[in-house]
Amino acid sequence: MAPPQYESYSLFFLPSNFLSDLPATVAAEATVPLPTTTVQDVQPGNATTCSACGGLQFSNTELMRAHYKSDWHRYNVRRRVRSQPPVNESQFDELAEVSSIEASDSEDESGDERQSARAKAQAGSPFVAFRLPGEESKAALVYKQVLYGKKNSDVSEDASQVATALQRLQSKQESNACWTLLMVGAGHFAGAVFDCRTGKAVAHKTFHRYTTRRKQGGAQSSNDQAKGKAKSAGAQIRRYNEQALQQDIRNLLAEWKDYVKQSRLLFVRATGFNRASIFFDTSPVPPTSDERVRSFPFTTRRPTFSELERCFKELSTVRVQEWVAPSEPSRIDSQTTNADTSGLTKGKGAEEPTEAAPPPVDERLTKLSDFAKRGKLDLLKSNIESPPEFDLNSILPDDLGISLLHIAASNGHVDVIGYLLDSGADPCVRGGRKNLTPYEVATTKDARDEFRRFVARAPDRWDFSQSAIPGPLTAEMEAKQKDKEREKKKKQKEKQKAAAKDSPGRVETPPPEPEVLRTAPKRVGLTKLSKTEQEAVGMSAEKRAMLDREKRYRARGRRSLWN
Amino acid sequence: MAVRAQFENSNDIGVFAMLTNSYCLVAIGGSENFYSVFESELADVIPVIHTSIGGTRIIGRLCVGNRHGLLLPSSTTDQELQHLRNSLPESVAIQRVEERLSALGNVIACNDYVALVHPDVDKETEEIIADVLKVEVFRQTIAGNVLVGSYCQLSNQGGIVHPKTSVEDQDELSSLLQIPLVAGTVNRGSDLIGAGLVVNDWSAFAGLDTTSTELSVIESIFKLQDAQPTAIVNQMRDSLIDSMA
Repeated sequence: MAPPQYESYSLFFLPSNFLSDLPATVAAEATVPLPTTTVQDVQPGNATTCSACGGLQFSNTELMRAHYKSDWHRYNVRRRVRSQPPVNESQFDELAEVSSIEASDSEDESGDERQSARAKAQAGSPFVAFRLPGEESKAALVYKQVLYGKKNSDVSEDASQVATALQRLQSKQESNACWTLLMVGAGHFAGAVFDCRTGKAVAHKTFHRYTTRRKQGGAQSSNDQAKGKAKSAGAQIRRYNEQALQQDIRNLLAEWKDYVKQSRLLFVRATGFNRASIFFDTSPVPPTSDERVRSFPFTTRRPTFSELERCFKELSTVRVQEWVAPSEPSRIDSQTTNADTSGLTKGKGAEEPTEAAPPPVDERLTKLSDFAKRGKLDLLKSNIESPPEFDLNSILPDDLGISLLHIAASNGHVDVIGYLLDSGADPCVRGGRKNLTPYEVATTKDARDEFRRFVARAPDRWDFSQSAIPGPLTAEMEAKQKDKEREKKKKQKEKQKAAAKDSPGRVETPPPEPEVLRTAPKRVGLTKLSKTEQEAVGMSAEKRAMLDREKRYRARGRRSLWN
Repeated sequence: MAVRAQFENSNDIGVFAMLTNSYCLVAIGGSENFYSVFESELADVIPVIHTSIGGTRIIGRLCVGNRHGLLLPSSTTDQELQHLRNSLPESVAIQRVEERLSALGNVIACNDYVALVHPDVDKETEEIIADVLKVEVFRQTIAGNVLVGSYCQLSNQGGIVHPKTSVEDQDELSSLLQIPLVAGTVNRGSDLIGAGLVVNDWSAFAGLDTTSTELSVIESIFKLQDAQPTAIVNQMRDSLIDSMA
């Protein structure tokens, strides 16, 4: 036996003792390691420095320039922008395992690495992990998609099945095994057939056609379907290109018929209308229901040959990392309950315990905030009035820190605002990112008027000077305002009539502007809760991070459509 | 020579114009005044092209380019692309970039050899920049600002960076870019260098508010005192003749 090396193995050339010991050691694992990057060796010298990485010294400019292109430097530059201290190389390597270093993933300002690792763990693992024979503290990770198709995902329960699947992959038994990888997206196509034995592409082809709409984004065909066929020259070009791309792919697949037939596995990424260019009637690619057709178990970038190469490498690598016992609470909270008898954890099992993991959220408050958000007055009323006393001024435990009144105000539910105020909610409490009172976050005039009406109803209830409410609004004032409005309209009508009657040549002095009674100075540019803040109401910090990530992912998907 | 100019009462001419060693883009404005300033300085040497990008006039902030190429944001329409293709010299590569940070002029600063980019620019964009503009790409910030294109202006001769850039940062940047750098301002103290100034190797245009002190800094760092398009030949003549002898 060769001395053990704990980095990675090729899926097709696993050491023989791996497989013999396997059935007893298979288990699933939820941590998702990301490929770490190696950074240039930094040698002491005094020629040049990098202040972003903590005043590093380089012996020559080449080293310095190489360093400036490294991910480590990039990461430190981003940290510096957020005025965080730089991390050193070893710290970065650790971080790189839990947080994505891909530049486009970096939108979250609150990007806490620990959090993202946990959220990832909750999302379910694409890996099957098994213990390395002879070395109990190490685990090897293989993508589930490589071992079995989606339909047979229950196979993962059976350790011996995993072993057989792995056994089958060993190239010693297969003479000329190959995998086919196909990707289509936003006018780009990339396809390659990889020889499993050598890891080299036997055949590959990429092409690109201009099919996506500039400025608006999205495919021309989806726009045609949604809004009818556009007649512009650009639209025609794109429509033609879509067809041409489809034809190109079909021709290529016809050419590759033999490769596709003998491929053990086919990894396909194609969504929307692109699917039709790969799965058509006479396509050599079997339908998705076929066992051989798999999807990529990770996000892929723009279809290029280098991306295919990366994906093949990613899929065919068995990664080795520290064994994390599924029941070890200190490492991954979500794993506490899902260690079952066979030592297997299912990805979907990870969802239930997530509720227990974060600090307990007041469920009643969450419910109430939901009612306030949707303007369900009767439900809100019955819930608040039900036995256990409820403090109307309690602040939601998310990091926005706003009250029910804020929620009702920002959603403009007048009746809920009225009810809350009457039952003792404090209009002076401040919350949200900008530290605003409920009146300030109110979005509609009606909602704002409701606050002022309350001031008129109960002028001594609170110290309204703190609430930013400009003043009371009594029934008389409202009636007066209405009268004024009516009068104004009437005058306008008369004016119009007069203007129509008069000869067009005559110049008429405009009647003096009706004096508008302003009970309160008009607030210019009233700041409100932003959309994201409104959506995030009542969510724990972690859930919000997940939502953010989801949004970013979607945005990225949309972006990749444009390519 | 450094020249002062104004675009429709705005001093931020870097917003409305883009200048490289092989072409100049100017926004379509209400008056031809702005255009003729560039025309009179450059027309004999490089094409001065009227264009909009994505229907807007803020072309200087939306696109980025050098002698080798021009990068345009994804908002650029097919017509604009075609117009630019028709107007630019054959040797200039044009590429539309799918980048989330679509104001390329704000997030990228480059000369003909190196480019500084916003730390969050996509990896793919980084590759495109390197391929189309034929430059080495470095992710950097300038005085803590991620918008490197807004806060500095580079030519092959030298560069001006944000006035609050520390001396160490200037040293680092200057050894990275291999050009002399100076911290300075334009438009009577504005730190938005990229917005107030456009330069190439032999000419510079600054906002009308730029003081003569600022202008003299610009002229000296970009070596514009006696710069002509042909200056390089004169500079190199000695060494050329030497090597041919």
